[in-house]
Amino acid sequence: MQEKHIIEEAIKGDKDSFTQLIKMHQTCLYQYLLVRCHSVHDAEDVLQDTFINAYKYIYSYKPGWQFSTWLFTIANRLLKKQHHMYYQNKEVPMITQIAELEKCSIDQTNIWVHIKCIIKSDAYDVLWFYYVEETSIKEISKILQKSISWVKMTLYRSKKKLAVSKKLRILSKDYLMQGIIL
Amino acid sequence: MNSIEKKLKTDGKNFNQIPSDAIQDKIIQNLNKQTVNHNRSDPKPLTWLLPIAIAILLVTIINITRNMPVNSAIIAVENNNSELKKENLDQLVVNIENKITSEIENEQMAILNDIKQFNNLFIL
Repeated sequence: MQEKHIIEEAIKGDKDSFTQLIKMHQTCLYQYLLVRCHSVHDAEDVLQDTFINAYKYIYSYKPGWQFSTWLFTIANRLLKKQHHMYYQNKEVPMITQIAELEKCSIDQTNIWVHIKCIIKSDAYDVLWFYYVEETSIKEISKILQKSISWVKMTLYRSKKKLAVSKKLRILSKDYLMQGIIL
Repeated sequence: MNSIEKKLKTDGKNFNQIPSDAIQDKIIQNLNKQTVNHNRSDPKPLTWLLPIAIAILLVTIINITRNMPVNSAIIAVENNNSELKKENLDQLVVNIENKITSEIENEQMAILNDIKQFNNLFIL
């Protein structure tokens, strides 16, 4: 309810309300961008552009969707543009990406660092939004501009792929042995 | 939920990376530079009618220009045909005229012969 009120104020033109929205959503957006971009600098650029575009086009936000869904949709579009512009369909080597993540002291046992080389980027996004952001299938399809059936199928196939990965099973066994319980 | 799924959930939340204050300040600075129309404006009917009208016009023009070469070819053939018919008719007229002339001439010759024979009868 509170976020709804802040969004309404932001739509009317209240900059302070929009600043509040930035503070509420910047962390989860930044974490997503860190694993998806090829460098920390790129992640910061996309984060900045996302919020600027969100501010410019806030009148087009439809209240039926979560505000985070709308932000992630904008971020995804900017990511695709960035990838296309800088790399022209060439993949950046995993070593470069991991080295970049080390700069922000991300733990190398973090499973998200390792599944990047197991599954495609679209599937990665689906898993991230499903498990970390706890977004519904419908909202994921809106963010990624894909059909609901595609999202369901991708989720199913990705889980299957991860389940057979030896490396991930070792990682997750270590995690269980540490006694961390949800 | 299996162990991998649990790890996906917890590791995702454990990133603990927050954008620096510098980035936040930069974002807010850029926001101040933006001039935004915050009034929701519903699209007027003309805005969606106009593209449809333009599309219809384009399709019509394409159809007309596509059919034009065919039409002109048909007209050319028809003209040709009429010219051919006219030529044929002219020829026919000439043929008839020639036939009539020759028949008249034959009759005249026949009459002359008859007259000669009649004259010969009287001379003898």
